[in-house]
Amino acid sequence: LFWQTRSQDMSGPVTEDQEKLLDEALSVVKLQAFQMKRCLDKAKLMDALKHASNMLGELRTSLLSPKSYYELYMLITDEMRHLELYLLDEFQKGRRVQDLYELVQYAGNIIPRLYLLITVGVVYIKCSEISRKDILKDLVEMCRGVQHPLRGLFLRNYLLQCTKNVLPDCVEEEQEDSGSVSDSIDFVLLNFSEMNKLWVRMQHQGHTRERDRREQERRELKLLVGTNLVRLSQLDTIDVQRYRSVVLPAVLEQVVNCRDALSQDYVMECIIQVFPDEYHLATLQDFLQACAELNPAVPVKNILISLINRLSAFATRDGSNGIPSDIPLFDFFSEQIAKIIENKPDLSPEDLVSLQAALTGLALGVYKDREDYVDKVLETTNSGLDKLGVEHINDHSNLSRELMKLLKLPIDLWNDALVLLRLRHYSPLLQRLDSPTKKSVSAYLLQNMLNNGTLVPSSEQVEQLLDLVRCLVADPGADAAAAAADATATNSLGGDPGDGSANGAGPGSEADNEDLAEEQSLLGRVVHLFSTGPDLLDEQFGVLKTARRILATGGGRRVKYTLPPVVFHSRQDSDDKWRKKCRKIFEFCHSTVCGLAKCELPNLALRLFVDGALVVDKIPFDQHDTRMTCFAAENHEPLRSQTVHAASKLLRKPDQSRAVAACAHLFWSGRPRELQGAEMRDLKKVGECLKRAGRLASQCMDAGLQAQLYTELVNYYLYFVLQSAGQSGSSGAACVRSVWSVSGVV
Amino acid sequence: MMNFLFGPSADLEIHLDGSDDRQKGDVLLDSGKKEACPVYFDGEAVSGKVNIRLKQSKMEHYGIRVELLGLIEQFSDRSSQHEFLSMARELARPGILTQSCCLEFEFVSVEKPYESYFGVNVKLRYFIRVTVTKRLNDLVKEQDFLVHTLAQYPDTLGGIKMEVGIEDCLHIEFEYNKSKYHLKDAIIGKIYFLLVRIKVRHMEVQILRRELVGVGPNSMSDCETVAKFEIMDGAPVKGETIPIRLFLSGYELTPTMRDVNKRFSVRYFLNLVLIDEEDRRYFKQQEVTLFRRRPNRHRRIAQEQQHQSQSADTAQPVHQQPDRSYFHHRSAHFGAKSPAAASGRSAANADGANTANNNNDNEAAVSPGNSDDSSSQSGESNDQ
Repeated sequence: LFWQTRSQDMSGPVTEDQEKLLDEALSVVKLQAFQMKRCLDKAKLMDALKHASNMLGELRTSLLSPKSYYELYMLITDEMRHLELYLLDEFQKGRRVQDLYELVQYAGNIIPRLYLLITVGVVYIKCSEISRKDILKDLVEMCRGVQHPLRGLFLRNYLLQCTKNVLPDCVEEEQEDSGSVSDSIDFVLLNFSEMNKLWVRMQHQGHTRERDRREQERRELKLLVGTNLVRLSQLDTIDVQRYRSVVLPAVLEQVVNCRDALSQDYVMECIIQVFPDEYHLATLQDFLQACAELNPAVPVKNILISLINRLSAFATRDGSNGIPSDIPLFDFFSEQIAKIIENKPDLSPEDLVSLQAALTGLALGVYKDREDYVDKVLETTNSGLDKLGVEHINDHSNLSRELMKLLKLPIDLWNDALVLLRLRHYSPLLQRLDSPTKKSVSAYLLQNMLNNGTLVPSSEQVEQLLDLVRCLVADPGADAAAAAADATATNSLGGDPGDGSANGAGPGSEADNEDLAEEQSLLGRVVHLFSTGPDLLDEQFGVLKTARRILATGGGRRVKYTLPPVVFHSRQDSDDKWRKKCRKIFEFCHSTVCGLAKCELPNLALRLFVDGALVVDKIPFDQHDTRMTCFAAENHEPLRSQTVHAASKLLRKPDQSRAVAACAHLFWSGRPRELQGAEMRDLKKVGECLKRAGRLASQCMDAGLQAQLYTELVNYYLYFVLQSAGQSGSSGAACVRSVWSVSGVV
Repeated sequence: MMNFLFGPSADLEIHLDGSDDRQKGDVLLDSGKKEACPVYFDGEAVSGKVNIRLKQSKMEHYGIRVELLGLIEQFSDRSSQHEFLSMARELARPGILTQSCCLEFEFVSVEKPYESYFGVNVKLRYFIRVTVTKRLNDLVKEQDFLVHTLAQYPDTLGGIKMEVGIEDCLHIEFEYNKSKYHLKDAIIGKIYFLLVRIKVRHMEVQILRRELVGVGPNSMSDCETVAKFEIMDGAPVKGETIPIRLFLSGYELTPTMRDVNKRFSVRYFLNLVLIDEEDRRYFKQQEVTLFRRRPNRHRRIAQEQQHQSQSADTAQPVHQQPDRSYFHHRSAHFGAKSPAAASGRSAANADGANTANNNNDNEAAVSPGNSDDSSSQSGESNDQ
């Protein structure tokens, strides 16, 4: 777990050397350990100590990489446990070895001496707590003798491991002699600052070209330093008071003074992670103050973000009392972040944004009802980006990603788009994004609305909302055209220049079209949320009108997704109470649909007309003639011919044939206004249609299918023959002839 | 019969009173073997018995005498044995012994001015000699015993504190808690690094024993490293403090001896050695006086000492101001045994407190006398 990564630039031969060196060292250790244990079995303590010392002597090497050294260290400390257990056993049986603590200090070399001293010292402590305080103090002082970073770090780590369960953890009054928690604090703090110094020093030794490797090695060793803080956090008697007055100041002082970016980054993070949230709350000011004093190379934002996230999580966690009201958490952080931004002119925009995102998270998590906080953050972000001169935000850039994260936060946490609309600085920030990202955020917002069923009850809000997601509503280029266009959708729809060109963008636009379809369907679904609710039906129509006006600016490719929901939605509302407005509604629907029809979407328009007709049919409605307006001759004529035309343009021959045949009905049962509700029964046109269908069927290659088509055609003919039988004999006869001719072909 | 003519006619055996209870110490015999012998102090009586076991029915002799002798032997010159102490008792007048007997002797309040010493070039030994004078060959038996000299110095004596350095290169301040240590003492001290521009690899404290035998042109000097004690591993940075704690009882040491009978001296030095990454050595020697504490008191102190070593209060000695009158110069150069250091600093080294005049073995490079003598010369440019 400790060594997750192998140093990258450690080339082959070096690694081999390392393995060889390590193997040699390990075999010496095993031999000496074996002899040590044998001597222990024979109760020859002095000889055992000699072998232990020899074994520990292997740790004096300078040749091993940190990784190999760690392996060696692990094996040796494992073996040292035998010695410790033996001594403990002897001591507890009352066979206390005289002057052992002094005896082990005769060792000439400092590394074995100190390892032995620590081992024996801990045995002393475990057997009697009387001198615990003094021994601890002595051990940590004596360790100063090892100034070599790697060896020092491991030695002090050994000290920390061995003393793990023997640190005094009680308040002063209870235990005078055996030490109190403040002795433990002194002990660990001293060890921590010494280890940190060694760790920092590692960076400055050796050749500059190996800088990266050293940095990597240091990263691998960081846990050794962090263990000190973990140990502190495990002392139960350290309360908030003690933490604030003793522990934190000392740690921060060490960290700030070491001026090493790697160390500062790690230790600050470590502080955040190992100590409880309540402590952080109580010491926020100090901590943030220290953050401001860190090396400029330290990514302070990561530290702040991690702290903010932790506190936000704390505030929202179940069972917590929340942030005490006397701590203006948000103000603290926002001031601090402002300070950081001020002090760091080279702060990258993405860092700025991610800082602000964390702050937003805090505002949302802790102060859910304070919209102004979020708005303030957004404003700061916006002006911050202005100051940095960020004009264009590329997709896939980090900045874009961070900004997206920031913008999604309020959506997620509030689950209420209407609140979002109240923020003055949300939209400007959103509009900064490049198109695809902007769209994705907008879509995210819409999806969120759908998931939560957020109703948009007023036309202003609809307007605001659609303005917010205007990237989905219309192409950027269409803005000018939209401005010129008025409430009549037809104008702008017909003359949208962006539409054709976008369609002709080539094969690559296939995917775009899919995306577009997806986005627009989303938008369409949201239209259904434009609802005032049952009490304010009067408003409803206005809302929809607004929606249509804006949506209509989207161009043909969009309206086919967005306007139908408007139509449907408006119809849904046409219940009994609302009768007098029905006409208006239908007119509205009609013009909308006409707009669609003009937009080369005849199929859709047709369907909507038909659907509209059905609705009208079901409603007990005085002004039934309205529904016929759509079939006025001047409209109807081109519609019919267009339909036929469209039908014959279908892709597959059989489809063409069937569609054209179906079109025949148009000319038979159509009821233009001029005929006062009578069917037009234009037999000639019907015949033409059917003939055309027959021709198309004859071009069909598959004989079986062809036969089927013909059969269907015969069916049509028969229908019309029967229908027309009563009307005039001649035309009936013509029909019959046609039938026969077709059959002949078959 | 052969036995009668040539073999010893009797076995002599010297038994010192209370030798079973007495503290014992090793005596280095001429054969190179070590023998555990009882320890005596100055002024103590030396008494005992001489057992004579006859191997024949009778033995004629011309007198039996017992002597207590103190000898200084120089190995280079066997002939120059010097008897600084000689006492004799007549145990029996000439006569005939007809049976084995036991003769008691006692030397009351013997002045034993010097400590027994077995060095490289010189030996100081005490022994009892019994001589049965006979017509042909005398029967002689010797029994060595040890003498420990005791001393007492007040604990409040100032320690050694000194700043040393090489300009713009290395500058340290070191401190030993005392200048006089008893043999079971611990040297407590610390080293404070004021300036480090060299890459120190490690640092050790050595105990040097310098033995000077003879006077004038015939004098012989020997320097021996009794202890090497690593006190620091790795390179410190400015501001670092390194603790020293060296227990003397781990080593075979004797008290400091000055001008013993005008024949020899044994003096001890603490040598602080820094070794850099290119194996250059920088060192500074300080003489310390070693002495043997009075035993009764010693026992109590030892307990204290043990307690202190555990309690580690002694790890931080009282920070005393250097005694300026005692140190003739506040700062002194290290003797540097390196080619690089030779050019710029050679002049300073030449008249510095410690001159590296021996390139083969720097341990022996420093002449002990000049720490006092040459101080007047070395003071010039070295003050900080």
